[in-house]
Amino acid sequence: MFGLISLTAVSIGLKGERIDSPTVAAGLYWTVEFFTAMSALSRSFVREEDSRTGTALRLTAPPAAVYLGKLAFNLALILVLNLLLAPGFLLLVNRTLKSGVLLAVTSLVGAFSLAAASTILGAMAARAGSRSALFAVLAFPVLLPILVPAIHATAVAFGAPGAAGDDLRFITSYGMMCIVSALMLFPYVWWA
Amino acid sequence: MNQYSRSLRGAVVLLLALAIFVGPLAFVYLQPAVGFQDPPAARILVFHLPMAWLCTLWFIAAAVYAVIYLRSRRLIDDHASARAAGIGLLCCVLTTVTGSLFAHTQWGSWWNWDPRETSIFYLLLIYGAYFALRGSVEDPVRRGQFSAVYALLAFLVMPFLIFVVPRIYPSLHPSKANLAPSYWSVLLITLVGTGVFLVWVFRVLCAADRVTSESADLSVGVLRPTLIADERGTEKTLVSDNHPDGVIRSDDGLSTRR
Repeated sequence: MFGLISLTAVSIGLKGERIDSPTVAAGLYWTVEFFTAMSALSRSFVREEDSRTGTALRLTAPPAAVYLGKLAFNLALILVLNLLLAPGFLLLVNRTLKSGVLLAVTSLVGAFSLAAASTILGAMAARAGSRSALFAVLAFPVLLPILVPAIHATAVAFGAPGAAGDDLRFITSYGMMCIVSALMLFPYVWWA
Repeated sequence: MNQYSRSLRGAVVLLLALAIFVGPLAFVYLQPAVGFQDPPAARILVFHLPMAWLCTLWFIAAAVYAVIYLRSRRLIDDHASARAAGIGLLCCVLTTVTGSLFAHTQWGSWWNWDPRETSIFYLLLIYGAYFALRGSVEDPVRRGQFSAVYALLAFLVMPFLIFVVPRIYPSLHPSKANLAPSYWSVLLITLVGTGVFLVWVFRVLCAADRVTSESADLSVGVLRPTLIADERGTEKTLVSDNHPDGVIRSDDGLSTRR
């Protein structure tokens, strides 16, 4: 719903005008994507703590299994959001694509990195006070380095000149670094 | 500590404080920087570079203390990590301010999202979030664990921001600069003087934390209960010798009394 509301707000603001600059269009796309992810990705651990199933999970499952399970859920959630947001954005913003494959790959690796970093941060925020606000505060600085290359790669997909190879490599390596470090650090968060 | 070593320590701190102020004085007497658009104002780089390096070093120190805390579980190590992050944040703010001043004089814009400017802004956000996290967790042990994990995550993010991003995207920052020997000497004096002065500030803050922790019966962060047996030798009770009402509470909610 948040993604739909954001898209609607952008489209109403544009009043049917076409965004000529691919960079501006890419920036708007990732703004909607980011804010939608921030509202969605913290829910998995918050739900565990609210329903008090977290304790049972701590007793029965190793931390790595919990992290990877939540990561898979967050990744699936972000991918579904992308499937809804991308066509909606193209329709409501009247934007044409130069390379649909590049947009799909950028969305995929971006979703991978978003989920990788936000899973462990969601676990921390769920067990602290002011959860939803704290999750956004914790996640934005860690996730913002993905934003610049993702916007550049999406702009190339929308028709901007240049290549997106370096951007995709950066996002992928960042996501892998987040997963490896989160797997090492998650037990300290889970057992706190 | 005898009076001689106290005097020596005071003299060293005074010399280091003077070394910090040599930088501003030398700024007045250094020749204008050749090759920059505004040579007199470009001399601010003798502050900007040391602050940037110290910012990175203090963040590394915060991560090191975070690792030490996760292994030792002593709250004093968590406090040290927080103090190091605080000093790193101060250096980060000074780096941002001096960099913004340099950008305005050199490129006519206070802020233009150059990759290095963006990186230092991200670092500011990360360490602001670190202190927001510390402020939102009341339990000291959980706060220490979460803060340590976040500090380590931020430490792992840092190489991407400082070393990778500026090399992927075109940056207005020069990749290498040939500085005159006079510039190198002022830069190194500022770096060493400020760095060692901040180490002294860090040690004072950690000593204050240690005193505060002991007075709050945290005993440098580790509760040390003692098991005693009753007269029959069967029932055992956890007691504390130095808590005012003889009751201590552990983090799992168990209470014990004298």
